[in-house]
Amino acid sequence: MTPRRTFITALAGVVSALMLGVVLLKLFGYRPSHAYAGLLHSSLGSHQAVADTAGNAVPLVLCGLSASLAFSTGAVNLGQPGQFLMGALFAVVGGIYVPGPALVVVPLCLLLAALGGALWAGIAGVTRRRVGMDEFIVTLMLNFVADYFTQWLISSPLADPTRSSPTTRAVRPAAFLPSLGQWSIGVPVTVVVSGALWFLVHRSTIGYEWRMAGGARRFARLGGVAVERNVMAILGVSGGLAGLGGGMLALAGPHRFVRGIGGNYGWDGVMIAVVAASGLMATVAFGLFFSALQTGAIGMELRSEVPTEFVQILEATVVLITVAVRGVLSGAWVRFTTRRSAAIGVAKHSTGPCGRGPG
Amino acid sequence: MTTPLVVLHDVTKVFPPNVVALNRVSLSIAEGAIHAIVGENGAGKSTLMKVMCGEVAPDSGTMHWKGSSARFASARQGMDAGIGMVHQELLLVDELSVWENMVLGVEPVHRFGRLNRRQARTEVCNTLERCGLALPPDALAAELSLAARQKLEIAKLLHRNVDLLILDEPTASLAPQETVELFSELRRLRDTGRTVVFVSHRLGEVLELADRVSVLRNGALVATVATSDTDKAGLARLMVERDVLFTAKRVPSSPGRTVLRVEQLRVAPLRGGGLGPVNLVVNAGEIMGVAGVEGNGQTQLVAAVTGDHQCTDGRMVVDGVDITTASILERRRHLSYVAAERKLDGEAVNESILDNARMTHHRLTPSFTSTAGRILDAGRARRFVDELEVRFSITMNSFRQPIGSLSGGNQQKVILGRELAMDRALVVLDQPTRGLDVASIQQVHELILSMRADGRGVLLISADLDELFQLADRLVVLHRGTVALEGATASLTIAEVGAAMLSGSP
Repeated sequence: MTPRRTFITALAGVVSALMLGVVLLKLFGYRPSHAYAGLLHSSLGSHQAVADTAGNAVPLVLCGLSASLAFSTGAVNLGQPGQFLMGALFAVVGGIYVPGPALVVVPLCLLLAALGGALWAGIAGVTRRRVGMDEFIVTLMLNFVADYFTQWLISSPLADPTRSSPTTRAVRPAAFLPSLGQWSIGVPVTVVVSGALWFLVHRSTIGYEWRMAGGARRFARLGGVAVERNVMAILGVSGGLAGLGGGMLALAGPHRFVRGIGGNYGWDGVMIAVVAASGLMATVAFGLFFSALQTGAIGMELRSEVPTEFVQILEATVVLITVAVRGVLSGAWVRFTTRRSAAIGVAKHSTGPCGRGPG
Repeated sequence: MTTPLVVLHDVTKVFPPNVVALNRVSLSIAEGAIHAIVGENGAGKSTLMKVMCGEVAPDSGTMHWKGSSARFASARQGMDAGIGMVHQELLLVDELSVWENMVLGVEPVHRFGRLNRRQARTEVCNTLERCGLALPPDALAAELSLAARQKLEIAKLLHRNVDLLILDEPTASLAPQETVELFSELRRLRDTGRTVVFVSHRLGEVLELADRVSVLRNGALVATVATSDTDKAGLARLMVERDVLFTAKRVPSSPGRTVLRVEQLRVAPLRGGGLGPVNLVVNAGEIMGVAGVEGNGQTQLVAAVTGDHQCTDGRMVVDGVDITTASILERRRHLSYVAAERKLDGEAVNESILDNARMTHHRLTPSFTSTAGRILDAGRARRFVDELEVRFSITMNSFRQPIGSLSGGNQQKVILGRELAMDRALVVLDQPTRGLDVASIQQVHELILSMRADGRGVLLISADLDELFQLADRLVVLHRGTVALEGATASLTIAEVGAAMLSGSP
């Protein structure tokens, strides 16, 4: 899929979802213009709103990149929710116990977060290499393990005795994720990480091997690529991205591991990767878009009384329409070019393109 | 003059997105004749056959069957009208017996739809007897030889009383003796009043068997001629619109040092059979051909040499280096490899020409990367593609286009170019011309001879005996995983090799 076609399908999906939204809003007796104005105002209408949208996009984009990387390189990772939790856990534990100034502790905690996600995904890599288990099922199942494991930790060994609901203690203030004015430091970190990931995948030798193994496994193997070893590395990096997202969320927001911290970020990431057709830059763009919807939802409710849940309808519609449009558009494109070349070919008595037909 | 059995008029078929498979083809086929269709790959042969039997609906044009207008919506309708096709890939149920395969879809039934086994088997035996086909009715399809399976496909159609039999490349995977037998069956069918249309790549067979031959080029019908009025060179000229040399220019070989030594090699069975023990030597400056009916150990031999599959026993030395336990990448320092399954093993169909061209070079040719091999050098790879485009006259628009959008011949030239640029002592070529058109085959043959002239050792695996006899200096014949015959090509005859392929002894 060319970048231009990806862009066109994305735009078509977004526009038609917004139009369908108009119909739905009317149907339920709201004023669409009010609702959308509220949505726009609180997601992009002010410096603060833009900064919030960007900040909220951080976990979405990182989970999205985690999924996109795996989907496009021949490994399967559906364990973002679990890796996100493990990243948050590692970061919080580091933030509680590691002494020192913010300049040391924050980067260290973020590294720990990535490590947590990477190790969790790495389990699937090990079971694949050692006993031949499909990483598809292992990463998926590990989500439940991570969920219950962290719940047990925060309600027993790591529990904060002063709180009634299960949670860890708060991290030391030095481990709070700092912000630059209204902007979370997570935003520039995510920009740098996205850029580095793009370079790794599209410019480095190892990234080349990952891409080739993703689309043509046997070709890569016979060309000398150590496909199995690469799957391990891909799972590690992919898990690290989701873990980093979890770590940044924990250190920026609650500053502790609270129950339900994982929210729906992991699955949203998988959804974003699907809408973005596993393109890295498209993943960043869709992460921002979904963040804008989610960030603007509350403003929309305040202004027009449209419930925030409406945004979930919009999200789902964008996903469905984009994926459907991708199919329809390529089908229409094929029919159009077929008809055109049929006309040209027959009119000119041309002999058609050399040797491209089925035998 | 009697009405022709089939008349096609101005038939056009376009496959998405823009492949004009058939361009106003008009053709008539006389009743009771054997009619051959030849053409390069992608010339539209298979499509034409599928239009005739109803499997593919034409975009425009008409068809007349036995004098009246016909338009089949499906292969089933074509079959009911009396037209049947044997596909290149045989469509049999391995777990069912011969008679069960034959009645499948036209079963005689008792009340309530229960299969009347006795009647079915009797009907099958009658058909086999009537048509003079020697097939054991109770044998499982899986137990039959390839030639017998083909015969079973034909019997299936005869059991449905078709008048027109269409065969798509029926001889592609048959040994020479089996081909002879198939041809005599087809002649007998013609003499009993059936009409046969068959598609082939092999011009010699066409001239031997057919009464008339139609030549397709790029979807258009170039000519229909009586076989008595033409010869191999004439047909080839019609197919490619230029003269094709049928004898590659060659000079006597001057074998040098040993570049591949295989000793007592054994491979545990994979995909249908094991290998070994096999001993084999390839010297620099010579082409070693490996012949055999498909599935007699060629796959295993190549897999063991290239490292795709570990051997169970024995030793392999390439260019003085023992590679028996080396990784695939390590072996690729010493050998180039062109895989038989091009779309699966030889290329990444959906990736760019650029990304396909730099495979293996990205690890083993230092100039393709910078910073100690960690970053790809895009400029170097682009220049490499430019070099390939010029040197092998590859027809392409951009290094960015997916390699799968090139013609088969051009894809193969990119792959050969990539492998040759590695400058290895040993070149392993597994079916390097399979699926290519006549002109591309010619170019690939010249390339192979140039490798030999450069002093490389070539291990050439091919299912095409003509190709092996044209190119190879020495030949081994594999039969059930062992060497059945070995010798200098000049001292062997096609008949000897064919016999060794089939029975294991010349």
